[in-house]
Amino acid sequence: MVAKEIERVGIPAAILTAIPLIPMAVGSNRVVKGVRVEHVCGNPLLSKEDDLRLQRRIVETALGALRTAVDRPTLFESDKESTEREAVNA
Amino acid sequence: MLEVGAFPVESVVSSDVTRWRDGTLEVNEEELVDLVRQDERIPWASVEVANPGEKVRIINDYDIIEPRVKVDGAGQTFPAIAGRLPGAVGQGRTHTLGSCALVGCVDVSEPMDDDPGQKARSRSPGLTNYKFIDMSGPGAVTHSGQTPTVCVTIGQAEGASSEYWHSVAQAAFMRVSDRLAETTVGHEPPSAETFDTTPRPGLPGVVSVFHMSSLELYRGPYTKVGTAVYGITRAAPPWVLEPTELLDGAIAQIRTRMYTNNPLNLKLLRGHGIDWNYLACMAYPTNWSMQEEKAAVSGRVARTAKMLGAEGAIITTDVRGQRMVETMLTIQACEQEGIKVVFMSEEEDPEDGKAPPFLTSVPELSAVVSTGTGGWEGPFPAVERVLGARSPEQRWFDEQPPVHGRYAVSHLGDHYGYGNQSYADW
Repeated sequence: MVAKEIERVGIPAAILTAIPLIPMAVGSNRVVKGVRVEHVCGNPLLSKEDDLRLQRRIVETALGALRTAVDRPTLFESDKESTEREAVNA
Repeated sequence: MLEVGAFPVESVVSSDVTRWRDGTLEVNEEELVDLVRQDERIPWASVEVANPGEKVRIINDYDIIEPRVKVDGAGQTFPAIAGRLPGAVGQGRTHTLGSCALVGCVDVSEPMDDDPGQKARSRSPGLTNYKFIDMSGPGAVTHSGQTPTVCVTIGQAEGASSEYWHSVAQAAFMRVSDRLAETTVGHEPPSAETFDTTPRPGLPGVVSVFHMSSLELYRGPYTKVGTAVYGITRAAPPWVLEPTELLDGAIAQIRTRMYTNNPLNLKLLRGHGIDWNYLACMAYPTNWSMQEEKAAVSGRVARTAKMLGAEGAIITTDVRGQRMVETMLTIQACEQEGIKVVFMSEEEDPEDGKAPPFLTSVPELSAVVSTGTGGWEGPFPAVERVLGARSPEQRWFDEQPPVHGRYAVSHLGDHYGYGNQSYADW
């Protein structure tokens, strides 16, 4: 909802979430898939170095989402594709 | 097949013996206190009785139990919790103190260090103000508010962790439950009901699906705290239970009585062989925190129900928040398997019509039975006695404001249409 309101005034907003189903249903345009509810933007089971790599990739995916033109709820997944990409609508 | 012999309790009275006689449960409080304090780790305990209509408020409830005992057939009631026998239940004969509640309270005036929830609640009265049971007045509508009650309160040992103290407290309440239920042994029950779940040909198959909040997410996979199925609390694919197993307490802890006396389970059992075949209760301890896990296990519920032959499912949930996602995914998966779903649930606070009733929804959701918002109009009048703490704060004796069913706060806990507030007039 916050992301939608921010976009309404013309500022691109990406929502980073463990449960994309909720913001997609609400109608947020840029939804970035995180890891888990407890640790959305990282994974403590990984080594420190790998966790840092994962965190960076998720944040880069979110930044990539901001640079991508979308006109409907769109899911961005850091483990699936390049962080720089064309929009694929859900 | 399970036969349940009911010994109705119309009132609970203080006595010098503990026994059931003609609808009255007599309770020797000193005997029960001694029973609780058989565990010398418990620093103090009190036992008091309360009946509907009395100006009594109960706080700090930790579990609510209807005492039951197996008089024939395998296993022990409330299996595998607090050191009890783990064997399967649901067959033979069980005696129950009908319409009686043992309310076990843990005085949490001194919160434990390892329990962030308890600490937060103790710091913020707003988080505890909803958690009480009134025995009279307009607020006596919770599922044990109109039930003769034996209230057992124990203190906490200094420095004990909540995980450690759980086993101490739950075992103490079970000792009292067993003692009370024992008063029925050797007597003929005034009424008995037989539940035979053999399927009859030509009737549609139905299942119940209970989504139940697991505390694994907060406390780890091996915690014993929280609603347990055969003593196990962790999030898991659905347990396929014979519905009679619930009558023997296979689902227990926190609000044990809500499962032994579950109105949905009983209704489906009583209609079995007449209007439908009640194939199974699918108990689904949930709280997955990854979308794929939610979807995978919800899909498993639907497939398992299909394999059991279900044509219909009544789905309930005792949690809101992000956990509503797996509930909705279960509804969706069942409908996609061709199983008709009725969803029975509390709603979020509608905020005067500005907010949706559920956090999220699916297009397949078409039949919903509401059991309210969890809140209740107040005020709740002042009371003369407060049970559940050694020295209750004065505020608990005073009038209490209305309780709003706002997010995560549920005064009524009426997930299964249990309360006496009745929505028949809706």
